[in-house]
Amino acid sequence: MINAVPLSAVLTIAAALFCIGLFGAMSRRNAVSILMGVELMLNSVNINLVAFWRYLQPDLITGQVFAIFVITVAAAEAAVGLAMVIAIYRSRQTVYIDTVDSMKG
Amino acid sequence: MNIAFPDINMLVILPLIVIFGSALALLLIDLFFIPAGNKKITGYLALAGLLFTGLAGVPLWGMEESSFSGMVVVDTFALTLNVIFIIIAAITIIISLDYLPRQGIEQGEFYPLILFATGSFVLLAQSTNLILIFLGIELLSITLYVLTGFAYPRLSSEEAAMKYLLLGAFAAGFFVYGIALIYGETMTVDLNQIRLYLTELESSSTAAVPGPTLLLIGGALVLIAFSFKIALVPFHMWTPDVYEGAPTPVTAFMSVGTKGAALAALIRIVTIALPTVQDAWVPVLAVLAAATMIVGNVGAVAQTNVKRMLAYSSVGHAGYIVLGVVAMSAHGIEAFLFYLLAYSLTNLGAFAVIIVLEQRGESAWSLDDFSGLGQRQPMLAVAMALFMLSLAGVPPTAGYLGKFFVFAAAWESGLGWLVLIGVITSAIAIFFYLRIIVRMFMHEPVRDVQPALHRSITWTIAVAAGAVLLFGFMPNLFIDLAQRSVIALGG
Amino acid sequence: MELLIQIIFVLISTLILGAAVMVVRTRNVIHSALWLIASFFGIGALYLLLEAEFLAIAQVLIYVGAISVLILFAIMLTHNVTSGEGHKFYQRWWLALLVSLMLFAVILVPTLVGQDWTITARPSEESAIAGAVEMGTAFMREYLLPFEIAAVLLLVALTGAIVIAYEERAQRRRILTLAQELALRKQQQQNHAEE
Repeated sequence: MINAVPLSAVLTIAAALFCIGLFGAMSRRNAVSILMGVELMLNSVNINLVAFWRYLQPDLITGQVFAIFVITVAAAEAAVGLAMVIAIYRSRQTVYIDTVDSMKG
Repeated sequence: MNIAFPDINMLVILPLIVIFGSALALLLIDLFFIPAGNKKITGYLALAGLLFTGLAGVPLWGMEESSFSGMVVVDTFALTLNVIFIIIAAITIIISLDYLPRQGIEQGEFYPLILFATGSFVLLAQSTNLILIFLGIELLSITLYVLTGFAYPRLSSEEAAMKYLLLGAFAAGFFVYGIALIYGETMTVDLNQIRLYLTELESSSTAAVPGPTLLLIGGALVLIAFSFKIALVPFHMWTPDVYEGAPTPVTAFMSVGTKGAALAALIRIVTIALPTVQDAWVPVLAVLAAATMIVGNVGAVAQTNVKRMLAYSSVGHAGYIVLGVVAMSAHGIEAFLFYLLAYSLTNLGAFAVIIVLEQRGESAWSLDDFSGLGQRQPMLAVAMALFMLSLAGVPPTAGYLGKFFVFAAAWESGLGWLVLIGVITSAIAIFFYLRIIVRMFMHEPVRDVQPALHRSITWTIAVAAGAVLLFGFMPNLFIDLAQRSVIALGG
Repeated sequence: MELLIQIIFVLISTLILGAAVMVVRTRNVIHSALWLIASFFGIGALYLLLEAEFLAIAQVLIYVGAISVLILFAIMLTHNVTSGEGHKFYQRWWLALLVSLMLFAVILVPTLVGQDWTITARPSEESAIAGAVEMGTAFMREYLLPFEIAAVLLLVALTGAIVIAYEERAQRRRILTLAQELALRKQQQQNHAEE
């Protein structure tokens, strides 16, 4: 692959995915949709890491190891976030984050 | 197949092992042995765990070593920060012992979670590898998301937790993208090796090389993520809502601990990895600090909710602390350590007073609740006045000295304009800190607040107030320690 | 051969980005989650193309197998059938679009301009590329401490999620604030007086 596709192409894909995730996280109202946007962002980071690893330093494992850690953290945050969504839904019957805004100032 | 044990020195992470171990043990003990309704025992056991962590740090004094393939380092800087973090955690646990049952939110998991968060502080003070810093920040964040949502009878608590989580996850995305770009440029995530790469780049620099642009952009993204954690403007928007929604001991814990730990990690990154590209990030950080001081202090002026006012004020203080970092000098880091200590004691004390006054489920957070406190609870009012004066930076409190050191360090490094902004904003700040003092002593009581004074919390407030005065008169007790820390950091 | 790889890469990238765009633009949140799964599969395929086999499997197992299922659970549990509340998007979504495009440009410029990536040519032996074996040893050697810290992080997330979402907690009597209790008492007195 590394002879066929230039590294900048893969990095462009990753950057595009990051920005799509960013857009999703910033423009949606549903809390679960925001979390999905964040997952896209973290996945784009992983693509970056793996691409850098494969193209520039495939004999050391640092890139892949870091990617595994990012997956771990993403999973943990998704779990806690979704637990919170469920808890809020129980008390408020809604998951739209701009309707759960009782604090002012 | 050869099983070769890695060459690691466990002593380097001894405090970390002790605190995480005691947190794990506490989770199990709390689950199996401590009945509901008696969770204070968990709190006392947590304090014991903190004591062991402190003791575990004692044999490490003077040691300067790195281990785990250069990922963690133990030096006086880390050990001094350990002491500060243990103090912060101990005070938090003591003031929440009675607060939690009173608010009906007592759950045994609270204390182990506080210990886990403190463990992440300790980790952040010690790590010299970007992967570990990332994991430390995420461990800290997740623990705090859960703790923020602890006061669930109050709907604002769950909202605050959700808001904090969404924005925090966002910032985590930026953080790792930045680290990935830095990795792409330097092919390493170790801070020392990044510095080697940068110095090599400079020494071999020709006109054709565009400079480490990828690293700089990665660094900018990392800085954005850190600014979120430390609550620097313009990434501070979450602070008032989250601080108001969280249970008050957790707010106190967050306001001092997170800033200290995140700033410690930032200091490690910039002093170890990025000293050669100073011209790139020092101006940016200086501007952020200036904006933070201005917005934090101006924003607090309009608040009548004391908890929110303290939230804005802590944003302002983050700006002052960053001055110590921006100075990029030995005096700057000493100032940072002293300011952190002074600010922690003061803020924890102020929040402890609020906790004492807090009623069932509802805020004792409006200014009216402080009216006439001087008549009804004179000692409490005096302590609160002392804390307010220290936050404002009035001599002879520790807060005044903290600001003085930070301003002096920034001035020496040629950042005069920043010091000017700092002084002006401090003057503005005196207004809203003094407003509370005036309310306490010169107004009649408006609402009948029954302060929940227990021996432990009274002692804590007294000790905190005493320490604030002590360090205000005799900073040398700590400055010597701070200086040795800076030498260890290589500054 | 190279052409084939390029075609495959283009197809996979189209899947990843196309599915991602559908994730953020679909109105129905369940469809959104399904498009997310498609995107995750695409990313796994990309890892296979990049010769990171273990990571590809891990990606599918964890992201598709666990996280996506969790997301679908959460959607199903919080799906108010009668809601259909107005917009799914903020009024000012174009602002978010602008910020995303700007960030895209900022990130992209240094990667495309003036970088000469010294691509390591693949050596003749197959074992030179680090794979699962090296990852396993790395987790027990150089990356031992982050490995353990990640374990602590998962434990904290597990404990935290339970603390937050535990059913019994929601059923505990909510402690009313003083003001609310007074209002409730007044309400009850009024009801009594009306009877």
